[in-house]
Amino acid sequence: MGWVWAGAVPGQILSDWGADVIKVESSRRLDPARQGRPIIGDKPDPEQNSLHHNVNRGKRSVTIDITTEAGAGLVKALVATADIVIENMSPHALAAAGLNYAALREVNPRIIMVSQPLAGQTGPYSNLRGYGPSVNGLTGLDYITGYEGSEQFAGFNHNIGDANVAMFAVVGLMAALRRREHTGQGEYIDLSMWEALTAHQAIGLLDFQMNGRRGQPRGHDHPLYSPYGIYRCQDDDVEEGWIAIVVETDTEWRSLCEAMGRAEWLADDRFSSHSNRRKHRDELDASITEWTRGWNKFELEQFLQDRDIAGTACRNAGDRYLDTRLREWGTYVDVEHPVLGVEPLYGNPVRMERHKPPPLRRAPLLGEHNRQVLQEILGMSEEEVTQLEADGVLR
Amino acid sequence: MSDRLDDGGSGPLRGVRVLEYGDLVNAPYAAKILADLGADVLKIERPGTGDRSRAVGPFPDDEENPEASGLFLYLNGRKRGVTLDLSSARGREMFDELLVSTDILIENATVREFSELGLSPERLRALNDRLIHLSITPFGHTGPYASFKGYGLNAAAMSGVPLSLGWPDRSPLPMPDFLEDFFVGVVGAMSCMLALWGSEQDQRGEWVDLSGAETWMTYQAGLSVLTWLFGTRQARREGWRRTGGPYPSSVMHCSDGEMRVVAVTMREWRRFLDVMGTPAWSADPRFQDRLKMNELYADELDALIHPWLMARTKSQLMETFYEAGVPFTPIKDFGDVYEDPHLRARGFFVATQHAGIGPLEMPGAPYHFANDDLPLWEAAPALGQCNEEVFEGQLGMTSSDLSALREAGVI
Repeated sequence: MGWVWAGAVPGQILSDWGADVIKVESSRRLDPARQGRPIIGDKPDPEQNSLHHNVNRGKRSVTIDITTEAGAGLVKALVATADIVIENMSPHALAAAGLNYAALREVNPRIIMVSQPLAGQTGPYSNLRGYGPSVNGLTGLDYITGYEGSEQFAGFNHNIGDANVAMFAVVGLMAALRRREHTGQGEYIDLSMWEALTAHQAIGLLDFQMNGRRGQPRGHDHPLYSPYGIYRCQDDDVEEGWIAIVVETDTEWRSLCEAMGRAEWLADDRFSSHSNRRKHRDELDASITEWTRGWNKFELEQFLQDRDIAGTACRNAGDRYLDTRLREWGTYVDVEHPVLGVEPLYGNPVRMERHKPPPLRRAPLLGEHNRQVLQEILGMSEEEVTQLEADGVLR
Repeated sequence: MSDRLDDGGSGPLRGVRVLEYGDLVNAPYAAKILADLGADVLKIERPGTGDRSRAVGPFPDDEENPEASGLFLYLNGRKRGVTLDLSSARGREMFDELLVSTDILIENATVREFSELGLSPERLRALNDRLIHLSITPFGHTGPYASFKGYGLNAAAMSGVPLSLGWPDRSPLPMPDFLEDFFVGVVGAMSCMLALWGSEQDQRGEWVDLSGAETWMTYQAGLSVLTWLFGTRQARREGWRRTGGPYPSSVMHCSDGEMRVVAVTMREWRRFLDVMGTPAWSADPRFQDRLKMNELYADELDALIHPWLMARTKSQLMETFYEAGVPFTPIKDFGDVYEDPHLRARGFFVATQHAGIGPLEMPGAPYHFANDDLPLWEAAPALGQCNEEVFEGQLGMTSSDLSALREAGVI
């Protein structure tokens, strides 16, 4: 019962590893991951969103209106046969449908359930609505993402919080599932997307307590590395070229100076140590940029790597897809979809030596498995399912 | 493991023994997440300087002190710690002895160090055939970039995510405060749990080769490949406004700070218009299709909304939008986060005591288990704090053995 991004990923990961995952959704309240600008044509189409295709791959879809009594009953019947329930609705929405943990435990005491809305189940703002970017603001992450010395933060314009909370959900679910193997006990996990990202902000939160700082943009300043940052390379016809360069040790610094043809820097007091380079960062970065500007990002990457310097080109989506070595490795996998045709989905980065995940399967069409699931799992007859459709329960 | 399930302690992972040879953030964080659920984590640090996170800070009054680095204290609470030089033959022998009674090994040795220290899964399996072994590297032990050198930023740069951070006329930004590595640490903990499950099903060990680059290229930047292929867009630095989706999706000023102003569904947008008192402009036929609004009229709309926001504070707006179900939220600094009434009410922060520092409140685990208590906090170990306990108690060495090892720089 998870939706959008965060709520769908835990089921996607379990499905990637072979679990049978049933996605309960509804056209009455369409998953936002099925909405948005269509890829082909200009009519809204629930089967054309790349988010949906990636985070719901391998699942079976049943459309159930959980606000009807019969619909809630169907969900309970499915829960009675399940090991795990995943959801990220507002706490009041799930309770209103009569499908919170207290109710589901009644039909299956061994059930392991995770609720992972933005703000958790308790506290004064437990029904807070928001999306990936909202937690970037609530955790301080937006506030420190920007250029050092700048008054105004730039903000963290990437949805990190969704996948992040989903990983914690799988950790909690697997820990509880393993525990159940030994004790037979079910479990309920109250997980908060907001807290799951705040857990990564220890540096800022401790600096506030130790030194009273409320945070400032970090930019290219780093406590261990200098130079450290992303430098401009040659642009191609469409895209800007950028490369990330990081230096930590004296050996790396020497190699970089030699690679740049700036051996004189080795005797330059301004750059003689990490702390001095940090102090003169602006000058140093300007000189490095002058040099990187003349390079193709991939050629420079190879040039630096050959000299054991940590330089890697920033790869945009096109670079990554066209890198056939990544496709051979399985970072991206082409899967056939009935609406879009052959489409690239992201692969499974957890590479186990013995346990190999099954091949990736495409995301389900809306309600594609209504009959299959209700007949096979709940043992309903063809007529019963038809009646539920006619009653508007399966929609 | 099952015979130790009820040997006291708490949390769903009680009885699971983790050996961590981790440095900085990703591997130590993966082990910390398991410790938060009750696993018994033994951390190995290099003699002398120890974990590099001891040099990161923040430090009380900015005075550098390897026993007072905030990042180290956070990542290594509730672990036991020993020092051991794995580049020495004796150090590796002791490491092997520790491995025999280990369920999960978590390490982030570089590919080069991995082979120098003899961490190959073939060798370790001969010592303990039930071992779960997680290796975290920037680019993987296999795959096209296995020979690359890199740090957290390099791994994340492969995913292109930094290309969307920053102002359009300035450079892309690294992620602040090791965020690249924190996320990989969470995925590392998840990998351990998946492997532990598989291993308990078939009673055999597992080796997991996890790379920062691939973690970022899939879970964080994986969607963009499909949208790119079908011709919609590449990641771009857009500053405070995001294009390509419905209006509004941006950061806007209010009287005492900034708000994240994002409405994905039409219902949320209508609720916001309600809160504003349904202004006359909202009936303008140009302002009905929110994709077009974001594409063509965002500046004009921002100007219509701006004065209303500027008449209110962050906390007033938080209250008003919360009541109305509008998903606009304030942008908080760390003082705000530390004092946040919601996080406080949920007991998110954990009060801790550290010798020589005093009380600190640490971010807690992001979950509550209804039927299991998670273990209490314990302060991170001083460098080599548990050497006697572990080497004498567990490996049966004597105090004169330890003196000799200390003399030789092995511990």
